[in-house]
Amino acid sequence: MTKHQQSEADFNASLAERLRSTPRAAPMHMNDLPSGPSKSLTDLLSDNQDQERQPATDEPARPSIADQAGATTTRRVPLHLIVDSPYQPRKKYDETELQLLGETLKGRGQDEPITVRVLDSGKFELIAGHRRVRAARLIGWSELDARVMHLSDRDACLATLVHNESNVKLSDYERGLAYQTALKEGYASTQSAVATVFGCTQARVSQCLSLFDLPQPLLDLMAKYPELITYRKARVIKEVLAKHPEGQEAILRAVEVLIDKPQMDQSELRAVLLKPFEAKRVRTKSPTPRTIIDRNGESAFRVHVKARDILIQVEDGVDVELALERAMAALREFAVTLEVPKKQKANNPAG
Amino acid sequence: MDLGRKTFKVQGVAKLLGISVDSVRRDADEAGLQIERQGGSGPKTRIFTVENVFDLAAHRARKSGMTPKTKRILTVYAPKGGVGKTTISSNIACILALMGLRVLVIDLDFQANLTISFGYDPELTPDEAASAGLPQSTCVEYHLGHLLPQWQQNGAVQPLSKVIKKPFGDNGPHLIPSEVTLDRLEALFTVDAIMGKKPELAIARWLDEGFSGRNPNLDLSQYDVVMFDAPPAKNQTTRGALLASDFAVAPVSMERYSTKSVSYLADVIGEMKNTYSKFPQLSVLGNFFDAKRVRVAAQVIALTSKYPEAWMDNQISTSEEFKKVLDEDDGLPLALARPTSTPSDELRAATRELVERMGVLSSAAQKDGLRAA
Repeated sequence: MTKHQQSEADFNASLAERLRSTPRAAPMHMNDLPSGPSKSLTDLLSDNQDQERQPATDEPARPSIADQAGATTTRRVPLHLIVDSPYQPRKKYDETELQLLGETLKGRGQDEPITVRVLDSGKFELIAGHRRVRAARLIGWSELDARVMHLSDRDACLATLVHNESNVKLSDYERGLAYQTALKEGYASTQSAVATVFGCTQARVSQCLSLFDLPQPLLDLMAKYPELITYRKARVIKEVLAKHPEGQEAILRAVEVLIDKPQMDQSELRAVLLKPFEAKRVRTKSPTPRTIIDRNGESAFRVHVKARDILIQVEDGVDVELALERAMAALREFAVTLEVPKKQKANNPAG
Repeated sequence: MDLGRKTFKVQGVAKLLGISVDSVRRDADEAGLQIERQGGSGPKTRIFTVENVFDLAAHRARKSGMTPKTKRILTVYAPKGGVGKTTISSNIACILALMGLRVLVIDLDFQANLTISFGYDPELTPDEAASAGLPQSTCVEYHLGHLLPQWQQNGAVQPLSKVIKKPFGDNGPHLIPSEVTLDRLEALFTVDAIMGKKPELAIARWLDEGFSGRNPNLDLSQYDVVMFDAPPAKNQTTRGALLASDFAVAPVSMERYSTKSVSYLADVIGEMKNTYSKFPQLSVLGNFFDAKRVRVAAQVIALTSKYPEAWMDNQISTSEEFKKVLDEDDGLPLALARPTSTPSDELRAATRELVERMGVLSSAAQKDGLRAA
């Protein structure tokens, strides 16, 4: 080796290593950079417009005309002051999804403000953001950005219903509830008007509302398990109920199979619901063979019937040829007394 | 104007636009540019002025149908002085315009170095200009303050057309210049702050109105990129520019104090995120770079380990060229004055990286536009 004991690359690597490891005389404090998305310029300004109006005016705080007309301001709202909407059709919140949503909030920050309205009690009632509020509580946040509106009960109800329609994973039952409420509260008088309000097709409205024709015990069941019965499954249930009105109780109990097997499709459900009614027919046909005995009571033939086939088993010591001859003769004798309907050619491709 | 005297031969133009010499010839003919020919008895070589080059860049952008995806606001800022903010700003502004983007650059520093680098003496009086035979447009009469309501005690503001300078013609970067009284804006912002208004939103409001095109006296809608060259201060004006910006470029001069200034900046940006949920994405650009120096390596490690996303892949080397242009080319941005120099290559590479980070161009247009740089 010459005086170049280390290659250039090795030297550089060792240099970097040395710089990294040597404790610095004065370690430098370096602040974190924020991560996640930033608001747009327009959002920044629109969010700050209304906030600023308040300190600028010296008048006592009274709601402006704009506020009464449902104008919105965006601000931080403490989570403990936020209450659920009584109009919220969503009945079920998936824990894992809330957890995931929490992770997203933690990682990206809050993209979109939730929407709330001010109650007389000073609390904030949710219009949109039930899932985000739950996720934020999960990850221990104390506040969220919220669009604060001043809405009447009626407007809040409609806003909550309509907002949720566009949102993720609402079950047919929950949608149906929203449509039903809209009809009851008079936001719309016909199914097609409901469709217009919610921005969906009339067919969808009618499908979801069809769930409410189910017997009360099933409605109670759906209130507990809103995803249990889709409108397609409801159709199967109604079909089976119509066929076997006497078995309603058994059928309704059988529907609970969906709690354990939610992935079951319509035809599987139909099979399960019909099973108790078909089972009897199957059981009446006993498969035990009949025996034909000789004059001493010993078995000479054993006869099995399987659907339309007759199998005659000939016992040892009986002449098979002769037995066949006699059996054929007996059948011929029987046949001449019959009149079998003419078979069509098409049903008999062998011919 | 003085800078008009800087000229390029076809080869220089080709380098500036990142295209072949023949493309320059064809496109110049196509665009119908009035190009001077060299006098004398030799071959009549074309002589391009700076304006000609930007006109050509604009023509090529139009021809290729380049339409930027989105408008971007960019602030070049570091709380530390002398790290090369103004040099970087003026060069980036020129290179963006050479890519065919429409650029407005705003000088926020009362020392007006950016304004000077574009050929204006902010202290030149109209009389001095007249007696020196210079056009009155060489004088700086207005700055950003004159466009803001704070300056006019909320009265009428100057129309943009009276304030704006076009140092290299219509197609070059446009400039809102500065002069020594601009620092009074800070005092006016402070008054706003005391009165409970939010002065840090003043620049955001101004840009929003300008981009909307609502106000014919303040129409910024034609610009693809609006850039601020911010002074090394942590005041209302720089915070306002940062808050309004989508991106921030912090040059660092690869020594301990300038590394520390990035931490101060990170803190300012973090505060914005907390207060407004609006903040610029930071890019840290190594300036006066010399990979062979241990001191530089130490700062690179400090910065990349703390801000790996922000650290830019491209750096600008230490070069005497930057000082030479100050004396020999009246401070004309180096990327224009010496397109073939190494630092010019580096400035172009860094600007390309920035354009990618900012997502101004669609991927197809980006290929074209980036080649042009």
